[in-house]
Amino acid sequence: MANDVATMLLQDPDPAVRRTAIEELKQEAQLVGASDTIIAALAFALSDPHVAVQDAAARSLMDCDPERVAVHVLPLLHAAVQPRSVAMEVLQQLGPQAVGPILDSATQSDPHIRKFIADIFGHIGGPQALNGLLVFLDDVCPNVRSAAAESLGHLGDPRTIEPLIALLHDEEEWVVFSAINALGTLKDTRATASLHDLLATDDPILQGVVVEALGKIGAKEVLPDLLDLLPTADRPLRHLLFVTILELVGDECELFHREEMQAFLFTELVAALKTREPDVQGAALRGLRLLGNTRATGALLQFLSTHQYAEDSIHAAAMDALLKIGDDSQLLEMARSSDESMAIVCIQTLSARCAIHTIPGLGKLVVQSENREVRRAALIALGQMGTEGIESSVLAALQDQSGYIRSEAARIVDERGIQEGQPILWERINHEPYPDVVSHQVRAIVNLSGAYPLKILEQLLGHVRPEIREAVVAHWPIPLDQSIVELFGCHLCDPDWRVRLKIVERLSDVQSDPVLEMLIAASSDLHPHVRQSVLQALGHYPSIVSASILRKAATEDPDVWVRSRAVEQLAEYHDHSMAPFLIGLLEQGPPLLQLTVARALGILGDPQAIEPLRRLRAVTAPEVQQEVMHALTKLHASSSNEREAG
Amino acid sequence: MPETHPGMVILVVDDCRMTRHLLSMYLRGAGYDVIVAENGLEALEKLGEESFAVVITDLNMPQMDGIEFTRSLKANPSFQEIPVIMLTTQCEDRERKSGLDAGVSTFLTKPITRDALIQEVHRLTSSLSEAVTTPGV
Amino acid sequence: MSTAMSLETFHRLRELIYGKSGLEFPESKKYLLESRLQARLAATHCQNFEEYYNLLRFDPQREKEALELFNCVTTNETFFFRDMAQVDCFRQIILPQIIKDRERIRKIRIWSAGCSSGEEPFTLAMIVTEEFPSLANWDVQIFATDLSEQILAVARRGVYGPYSIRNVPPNLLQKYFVQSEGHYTMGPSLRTLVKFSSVNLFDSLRMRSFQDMDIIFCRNVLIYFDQDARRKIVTNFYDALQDTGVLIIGFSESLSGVNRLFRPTPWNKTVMYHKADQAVPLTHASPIPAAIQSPSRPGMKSGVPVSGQGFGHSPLSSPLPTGVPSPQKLGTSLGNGSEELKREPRWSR
Repeated sequence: MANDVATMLLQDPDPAVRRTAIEELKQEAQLVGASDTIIAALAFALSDPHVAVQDAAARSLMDCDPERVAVHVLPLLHAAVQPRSVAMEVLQQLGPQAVGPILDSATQSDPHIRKFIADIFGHIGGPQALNGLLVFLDDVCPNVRSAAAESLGHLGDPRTIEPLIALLHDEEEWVVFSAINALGTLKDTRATASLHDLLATDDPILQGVVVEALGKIGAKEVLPDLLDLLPTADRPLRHLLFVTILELVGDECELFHREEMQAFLFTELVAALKTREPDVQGAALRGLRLLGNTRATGALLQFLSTHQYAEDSIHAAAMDALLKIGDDSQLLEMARSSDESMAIVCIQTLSARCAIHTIPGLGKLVVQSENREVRRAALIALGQMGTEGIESSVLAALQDQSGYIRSEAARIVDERGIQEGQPILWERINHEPYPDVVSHQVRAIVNLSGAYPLKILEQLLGHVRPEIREAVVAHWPIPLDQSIVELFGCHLCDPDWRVRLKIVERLSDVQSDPVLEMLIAASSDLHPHVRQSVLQALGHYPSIVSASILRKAATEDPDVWVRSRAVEQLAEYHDHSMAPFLIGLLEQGPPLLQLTVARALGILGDPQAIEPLRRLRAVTAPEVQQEVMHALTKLHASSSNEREAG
Repeated sequence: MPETHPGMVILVVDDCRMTRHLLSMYLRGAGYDVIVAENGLEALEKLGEESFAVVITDLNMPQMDGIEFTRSLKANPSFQEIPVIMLTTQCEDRERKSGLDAGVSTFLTKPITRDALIQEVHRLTSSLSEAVTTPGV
Repeated sequence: MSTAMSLETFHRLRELIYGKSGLEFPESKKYLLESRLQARLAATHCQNFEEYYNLLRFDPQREKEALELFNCVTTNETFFFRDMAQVDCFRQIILPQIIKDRERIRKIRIWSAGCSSGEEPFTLAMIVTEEFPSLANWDVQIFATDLSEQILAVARRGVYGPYSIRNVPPNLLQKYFVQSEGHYTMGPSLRTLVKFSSVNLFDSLRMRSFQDMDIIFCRNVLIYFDQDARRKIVTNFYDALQDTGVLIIGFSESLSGVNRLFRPTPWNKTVMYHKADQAVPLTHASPIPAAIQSPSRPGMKSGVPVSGQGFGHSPLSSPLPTGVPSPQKLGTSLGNGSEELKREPRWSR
């Protein structure tokens, strides 16, 4: 019933109503399966004058049975251009099940239609489509033959090599080119010989198509012939040759060190950078890198600045080339350019090349450049390159107006042990607005102290800012001896929970009785994150006391995450006597806890848990069910092991 | 060595990768520079990237067919002077008419022969450069 | 000090993220997700990614955390007057045409979808106020939406650093911002034009509350989604726009392969999108010299991403009160390896 209404609404003058009608039909199709009427109606809607209606109809047809969709949509191939193109889109996405009705259309007398079918076969795939295409290779119409060749290239079936090689003798040039192209796409070396023969022609276009195909196949043996073609090739052929030669050569640059080739290649490759084709650009970049001539620096920088939106691979090839052959003084010169992106590329390249003599120049940039990104890049470069001569710039950067730079500077001061940084850092931590920068500064202070005197720890632990207290706890190095542990323990009453949390985390690396006492005291901390961490730390102290704390937390803690953690830790004790307790928790929920308990029971391996877990599985949320299944599998496995052993 | 046509860029629009590729080769071999697009929509997006001398477009393409593309192109004052060559397989009269109405300059039938293509492109581009060098016409 | 993500957890997280938002993470981006999420781990005090995954599924605050996650992984470098060609298209072609179309009802609705820390909507507001004084008597509203409350809080605060305002002409800087100690705070006059709210573009239901838009800006957002998700979002935009409305997407983005609902109209190196079933619009032949000259740097197109920063808002925004985890970079582990998800001129790493 609803069906009929919807089909009727498809005639409504308002496109919004028609779209809704399509939605209705789609829902209907999803619920009860698409009837022929529905599919016919949707196919009809593909010709709707309104684009949104066409689009909705096309989407809906994707959900219906491919074979019947094909039957209803195929006739549109005879229609006007627009419904035809929508129909093509739909047919191309149908997949191998639709191939039956399409095959029936394959014997259409209209070569136009046969050509479309050949295209569609290339998308659909499957053995029937393949056979259909092989038949099309002999079609009377050249457009059909060439479409078939191209589609066969897509399908990638090795049985098609021979027929395609046969097509190399077709009377129509376009068909021959399609066949060559397809053989290249198939990457099958059986085609190499035939293609190689074709190289000996006067026709540069034919040569070009063959060269490309040979490149895709990876036929290294033809390299000498390709090189011979270079000097007399016209520009388009030359570019094709570059692409193919670079592909075949890989990283072996022996070729590029032949004297007679070098000058010629250099000029040509630099010129080739100016094309629009990414393939050629990539080849030129790789070629220049292999040639190793630093005079290409300017051209490379020029390329990078004009190709900011280049694809990843091109960008990478350009950077690689610059890295290998960049000229340092030119790079430093350009690092001062007002073009930010250019400057940064140059700075990074200098750093990657370890151009130490440019350190003074870069140091100036850190201090003088108005551009934050440039200052930062230069600073990082200094940090990467060495200690000689970087101190004054890095110290200045500690007070830069940008937080990112102050942070970076603190890191470098730390890494390189620049002692003069200490007074500046001590002063800065009082006003530094950003916690993560503070963290770096504190770490630097700690490490610069050399012998890590307790005095510094005390001083920082008593600082008014909690970020600093937290940072010093985080960064104080191991080993944590007794006096430090005691000091940490005293500060477990810090008013800021994050400081307390950090202290618990550090203490959990130390195993001793005093620490255990501290942890026990901290288990009733006000903040759930702290309590969680304490419980985790207790995992290192399997004992009656710990177990009872954990049990208490598992049942009584107000925070579900804490309860969950407690359960996890109990499982780590591998104490079978826990099983009844944990089973008791199972029924209570919430899902997170159930999940954790299930996992814990799996770990414990006590077969008592099997029944309760089974019962749980029937009633609980899907995510928990999955965990329960894992646990049951483990339990069955362990109980059968026992039976075998016993 | 073919003559070069410095600065002359051609836009080739076809959903078939091989056609785009081969036509590009023919055109580059004749000294033109080429930019390609997969369908009318992509072609419209790229129109602003260059100053195109000629546009060559297929008729049947997904997303946006050649006729709708030509119509859009001709409705845009920045691009309406660009001549359009349309590629078709045996054309029905109906489509040839729609194409002409939309503003297509020439039709070429597939399979495309190199000479026919280059000849047509030369013809269209030389009338352009004539128009440029004869002021006041 | 960073935690590793197992492949299995990565697959689970990826599925969850996709289901909630349409954002897609192919295998090649596993390390990116890993490094970006370190900050979320720290902020939520999870020990590892498995815990974080559970949090996303069960925690009472999970929806909020999901939004913070999305914000964390889709960060963009943004600044005022970004992509001048598009801004010019707005001021010279789109807005004048809309003003003509709406002469009778005198109401304009602009949507900045993916507004991040607010530079885009405020730029538009600046242009409307400065260059179209006749609109003072109109009902003009700019809806600025993004996923996370956190980034919207930054946008509402309206405090920007020198990097962000570097392309704002000095007279406008003077007029619309209050400067203090290297920060620039947005003044009140533009704030009335802009309304911030949280919207997930993938959520069709929520998107339905946006109707009758005249212009939609959605720049550098679609790149995070796969074709299916993009299709959905663009269809939602189609429904949200007036019949004569205009869609603008990112400078290097394309709607090819998405759907047929929009037709591109190129203008001066940029592209605007109109509904495909509308009559093809006529456009001006050549760009009029801009009324506002912004100081542009030679050779620089759009923004250079701040490498490894990972968080889109201007870092010189005022620090959050203690007690709230700082959204900024924690530790250098986030630094030098992480790449950006977006297709920008990606020089710096």
